[in-house]
Amino acid sequence: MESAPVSHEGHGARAGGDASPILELTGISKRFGDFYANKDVNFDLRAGEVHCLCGENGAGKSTLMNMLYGLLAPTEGQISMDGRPVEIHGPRHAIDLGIGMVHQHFMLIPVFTVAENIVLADEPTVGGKLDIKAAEARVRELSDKYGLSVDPAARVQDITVGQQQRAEILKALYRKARILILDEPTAVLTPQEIDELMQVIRQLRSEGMSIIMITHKLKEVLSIADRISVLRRGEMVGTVPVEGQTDATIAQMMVGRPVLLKVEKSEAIPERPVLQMRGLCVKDDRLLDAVRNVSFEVHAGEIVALAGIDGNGQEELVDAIAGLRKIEGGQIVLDGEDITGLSPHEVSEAGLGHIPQDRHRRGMILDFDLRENAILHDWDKPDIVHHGIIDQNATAERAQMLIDMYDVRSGGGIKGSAGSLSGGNQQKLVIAREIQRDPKLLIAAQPTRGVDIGAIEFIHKRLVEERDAGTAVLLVSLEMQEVLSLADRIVVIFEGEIVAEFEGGKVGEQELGLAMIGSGNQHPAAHGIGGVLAGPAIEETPG
Amino acid sequence: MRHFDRDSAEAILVPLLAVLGAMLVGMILIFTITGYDPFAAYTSLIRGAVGSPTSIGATLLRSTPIIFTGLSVMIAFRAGLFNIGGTGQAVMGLLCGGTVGVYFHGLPGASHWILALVAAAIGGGLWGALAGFLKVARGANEVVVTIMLNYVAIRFGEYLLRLKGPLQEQGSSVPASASFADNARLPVFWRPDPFTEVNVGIIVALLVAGLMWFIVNRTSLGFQIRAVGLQPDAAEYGGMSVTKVTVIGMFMAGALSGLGGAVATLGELERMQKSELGVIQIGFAGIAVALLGRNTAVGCVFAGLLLGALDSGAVGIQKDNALPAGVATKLIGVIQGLIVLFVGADLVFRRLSNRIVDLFGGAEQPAGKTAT
Amino acid sequence: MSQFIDVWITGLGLATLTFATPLILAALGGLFSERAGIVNIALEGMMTAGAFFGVYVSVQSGSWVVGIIGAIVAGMFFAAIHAVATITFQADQVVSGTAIILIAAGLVNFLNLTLFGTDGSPADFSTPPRIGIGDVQFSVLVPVGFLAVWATWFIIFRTPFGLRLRSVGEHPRAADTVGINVYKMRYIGVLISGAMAGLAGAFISFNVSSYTENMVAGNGFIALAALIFGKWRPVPVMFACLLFGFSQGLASRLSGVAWLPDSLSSPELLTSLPYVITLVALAGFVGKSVGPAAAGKPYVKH
Repeated sequence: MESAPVSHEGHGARAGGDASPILELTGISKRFGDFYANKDVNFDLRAGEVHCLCGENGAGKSTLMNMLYGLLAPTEGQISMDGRPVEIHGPRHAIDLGIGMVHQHFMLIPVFTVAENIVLADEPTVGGKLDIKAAEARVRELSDKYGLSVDPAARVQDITVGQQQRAEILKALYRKARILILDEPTAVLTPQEIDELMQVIRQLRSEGMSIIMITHKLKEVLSIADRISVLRRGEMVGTVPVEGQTDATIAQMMVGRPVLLKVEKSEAIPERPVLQMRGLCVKDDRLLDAVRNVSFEVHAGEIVALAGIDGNGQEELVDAIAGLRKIEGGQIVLDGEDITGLSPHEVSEAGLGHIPQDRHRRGMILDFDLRENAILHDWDKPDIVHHGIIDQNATAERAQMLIDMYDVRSGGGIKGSAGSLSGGNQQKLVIAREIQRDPKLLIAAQPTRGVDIGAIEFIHKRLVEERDAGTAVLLVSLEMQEVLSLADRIVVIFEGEIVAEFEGGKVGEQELGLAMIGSGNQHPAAHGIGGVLAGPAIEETPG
Repeated sequence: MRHFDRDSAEAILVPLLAVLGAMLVGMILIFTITGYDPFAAYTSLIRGAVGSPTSIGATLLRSTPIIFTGLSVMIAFRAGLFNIGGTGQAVMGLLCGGTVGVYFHGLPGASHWILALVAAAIGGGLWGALAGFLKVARGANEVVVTIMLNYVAIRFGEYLLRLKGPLQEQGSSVPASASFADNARLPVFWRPDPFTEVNVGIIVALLVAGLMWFIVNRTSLGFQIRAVGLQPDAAEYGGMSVTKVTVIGMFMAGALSGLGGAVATLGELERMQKSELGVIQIGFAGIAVALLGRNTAVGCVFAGLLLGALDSGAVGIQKDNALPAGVATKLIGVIQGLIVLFVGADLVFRRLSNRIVDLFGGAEQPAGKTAT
Repeated sequence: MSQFIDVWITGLGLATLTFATPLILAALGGLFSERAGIVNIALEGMMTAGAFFGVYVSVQSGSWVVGIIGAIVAGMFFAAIHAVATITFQADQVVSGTAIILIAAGLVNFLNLTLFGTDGSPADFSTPPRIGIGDVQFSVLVPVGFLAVWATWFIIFRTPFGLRLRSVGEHPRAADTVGINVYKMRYIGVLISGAMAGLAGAFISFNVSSYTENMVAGNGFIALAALIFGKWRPVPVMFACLLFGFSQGLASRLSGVAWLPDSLSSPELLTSLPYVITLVALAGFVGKSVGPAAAGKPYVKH
C-alpha cells in the first residue's frame, strides 16, 4: 500500500490505490487499414485510484477507451479484469463487467426524462409495465448518496450541461459500475461545475470506485490524479505517479519537445475604427440570451482578441456580425456603414471576411473541388460570372492563386475535392480565400483549431501581415497562448458580457484566466483552477 | 497495369448491375408464377424495344416523357429535395399546354406548339414552386406535400375534363376537350411505319437535357443549387439565399415535369382526355430514371432511354403473346421498382463493382483517406 | 327527417368509420416504424399487398381469418424488404419506400392478372362478419382499429419495449451504448408497420368483397399525413384519421346531391378534399412539427 502523498491542500488522505490492478491492458493495438490508432499499449488500473489518461487530440485516448467499453474490438492484445482475460463484446457486456463510461458527447436522449435515460435498457417493471416511480426513486437514492443532485423527472433538454453530466454518471452508478471512464468531462463545464465534479470524483474514489479520466487539462490532472499515463500518436509514452509532476513535465511527455510559441510582430498602429458594436443583444439556439449588451471596437491595423471559455457567447456574437443570426437589440457598424440586420451577402459586400469556427459546416463544401470552394462568395461577381455563366478559366486561376499563395497541399491540385485535404490545408484554403477578398474586417474564429503545428505558425504570420496591411482583425480564440501572443488588445467575454479589457503584452496568464472565469473571485486558485488555465496551447492532429 | 478509377467505374457499373439484377428477379417471377419461358419473354422484350425501326420509334416515344420527369427529379435532388410530385406537375403542365393548344387560334407554324410547351413549363413550374414554397415558409415536408399535390392535380384535371366540365368539348358525349389545333400538335419527323409517328418531343427532350447539364455545371444558378443541396450552411455563409434557391429549384423541377406531361399529350394525342390523366405514372418512373442516371442530366437521358425501352419491350411481349395478356406491363412495373431498390441499396452493387474493377487491373486508392 | 338522419348522421357516421379504420391501422403501423427511426412512406404499397392477399388467401382457404393472416404476412413481406434495404444496406429511406410502392403495386397487379385472370376476384368468399344493431352495422374490424389505438399507446409509452423503441428513433448511438440492439429494434418497428398496413389493406378489400386495381387509391399517403398531423402520438393520430375519414365520407355523400350546384357536388373535387385538408394541415398547423430526432438517417455502428 503506498502512503498517501501530500501534494495539494484540500484533498485529504488519498487512497492511492491497491497495488494489484483490477484492470490490465496488455499489448493493445487498434488498426484501421494502414493506420494505427493505438499501438502496443500497456495500461493498468488499480482499485480505488483516479488514473488520468493524457494526450493531445488524436493521440488515441478515446479509441483506447472505446475498446474498453466494447464499442471497438482490439486488433491485437489482451484485456484482463481481476487477473482473468476477457473479450468485451459490446457495451452491454462492458456494463455487465462493471465498466461504465461517460462520453465526451453525452449519450442522453433529449426528449426523455433523466430517470428514463438512466434506467433505459434496465428498466424496473411492474407486471410488464414500466415502473417510472420506482425508477425515479432509485435515481433520487443514488443522487443523494453520491451528491449528484439532479431532478429525475426533468427532461434532459431542459437541464444544464452540468446536470446532464451528473445524469450520465448516475447512469453508470445505476448499473453498478466499479470502473468509471470519464472522457474529457470538463470540456463543457463552467469553473464552478468543474469544482463540483472534482468533489464528486473524490467522493466516488473514497467509496472504492476506480476511475479513468481522459483529459488534456493539466491543472485538473495535477489536482485529482493518483497516476498519469500519457499517449502520444497512439503509443504509450509512460505511466507515472502524480508526485513530482508539473504541467511542464506532463506536457513534454505529451508532445515530445518543449512547447513554446511566440509570434514575431511589431507594434500595432491602429487607425480608424472599422468595427463598432453598441449594446448588441443576441439569443442562442435555445432562445436564451447569449450576448448581453456588448459594446466594443476594432480598429484598422490592430488585432483584437475576444477571449473566453467556450460557450460564453462568442459563437453567437460572430454569427450576428456576419448576418447569420438575428440581432435582438443594439447596433453594428462596419466602417461607417450600419450593418445591423443585413443578410450575410450584404455584410460580405460591406467588407467582411470571415474565417468560420466550423470550417466543415460553414467554411467550405467538402464535396466541391477547390475551384468551386475558391469562389464560394463570388457566384455573383462580374470577374467570375458573366451573364450568369461561370468563367471556368477565371475560377481555375483564382483557385490556383490561392493554393500557391498559401501553400495548400492537394493531391488532385485544384480539381481535388475539399474533403480530401488535411485539416490544416483546408483551413489555409479558407483563410487564403477570405484574405484574398481584401476585407476591411477579418474575423478569425478559432483559426488554428484542429490544425498541425506547421500550419499554425503560418496562419499566425498571415494574420499579423493582414493587420500590418491595415485590416481590422477580430480574433476569437479559446487558446490562451494564441490570444496572448497575437493580440494587440484583449477583450474578455463571460456569460455574454464584456468583463475585462487588456492591452496585449501587458497582461499575464493568471490575470487573463481569472477574467475569463468572471474575475474578482478569489477562487479556486489555491488548488488548481480546473479547466480555465488549459494545458498545452497547441493541439496537434495527425493528417 | 491499367488503373481504373473506382468512382467512374462505379458510375456505369452500378446502374448496369442494378438493371441486370432486376431483370434476373423478373425472370424468376415469370418462370415461377406464370410458367412461361422467361428467355422467350425477354427475347420478345428486346425485339419490342430495339428489334425494328418501329420498335426504336416506340422506344423513343416512351422515353421522352420520362426523360423529362427524370430531369425533374434530378434537379430537385441536386437542390436537396425529393420531388415525388412529377405526376401532378405533369398534369398541370398538360392542362396548361393543352389549353393553349385548344383555345388559341391563328398562331403560325411552330410558334403554336412552342407556346404551348412554354405554357406547360410555367404551369408545372408553379405547381412545383408551390411545394418549394411550403417547404421553406412552413417547413412542410416536400415528400408528403408533393404526393398530396399529385392527387389534387389529378382530381382537378378530371374535374375540368368531365362531362359538362369547363374544358370539355361542347356537345360531345366524351369526357375530353376539343381537339388541338394542327399547329399545336408536335410535328412528326419520322414514320418508321404508318402507325408509329415519332414527334419532335424527343429532340426537345435532348435539347432540354443539354440545357440542364449546362445550367447545373456551368452557370451561377447551377452552382448555387448544388451548394444548397450539398451544404446549405456553407451556401448561406457564401451569401446565397437558401430559400430562394430552393423555390427556384422546385420551379425548375415542376417545369420539367410539366413539359413531360405536355409533350406526351401534344405529341401523341389529339385532345386532352379525362382518361389519360391518372395513367400518367411518369412521375414515379422519373424517380427511377434519376436514380439510375445517378442524378446527372446525361445519365437521365440514357436511363430514360433504357426504361423507355423496357416499356416498349413490354408491348413487344404483348404482341408476341410471350406472356399472358396484360401481364407484361405489370411486370415492367415490378422491374422498375426493383431498379429503384437496387440503386438505392447500392452498397452490395458497389462492392460488386469494386471487385470487377479489381479483376480488370486494380484501382488506386483515392488520396487523402485516413482512418478515424 | 328520419331520412336526413339516415343519410347524414348514421350514414355519414358509418362512412367515417369505414374510411377511417384502415387509415388508423396503417397510420399506427407507420408510427411504430418512424418512432424507431425508419421513415416508411410505403404504407400504400403494403396496404395494396394486404388488400390483394387478404382476398386471395381467403378465397383459397375459405376462411377470412386465414385471409387476414395472409394479408398481414404480405404486408410484413414488403416491410422486410424495406427493412433490409434501409437498415442493413443503409439505403435512403424515401427511395426505398418509393421502390416498395412500385414493386408492390406491380407485383400485386401481376398476381391479380395471373391468379385471378381477367374476370377478377370471385364474387363470393369468406369476409369478416359485421356487428351492430339494425341499420347501424359495421365490420368487426372497426373496433379492432380503436383497440389498436389504445394498445399502441400502451406499448409505446408504458412498456420497456416502447421506451427502447423510442430511444432508437431519437438517439440510436445513446441506445447502442447502453446495449440496445439498434438494428433489431428497427427491424421490429418496420415489420410491425408492414403487418398493420397489410391488415388495413385487407379491411379495404374485404369491405367491398373484391380486389380491384388501385383500390387503395392513395389512402396510404393519407395515413402518412395523419401520422404527421397527429405528431406521432396514437390518440391525436386517431383523431386525424377520423377527420380525414369524415372528409372522405362527406365527399361520397355530397356527390350528386340535388341541392348543391353541379360543380360543388362533383365527385372529382370532393374526393380531392382529404388531400387538400392534409395540405392545409401540413402548411398551417403542423408546420415545423418535430418527429423522432433520428428518423430518416441510417445508423452506422463503428
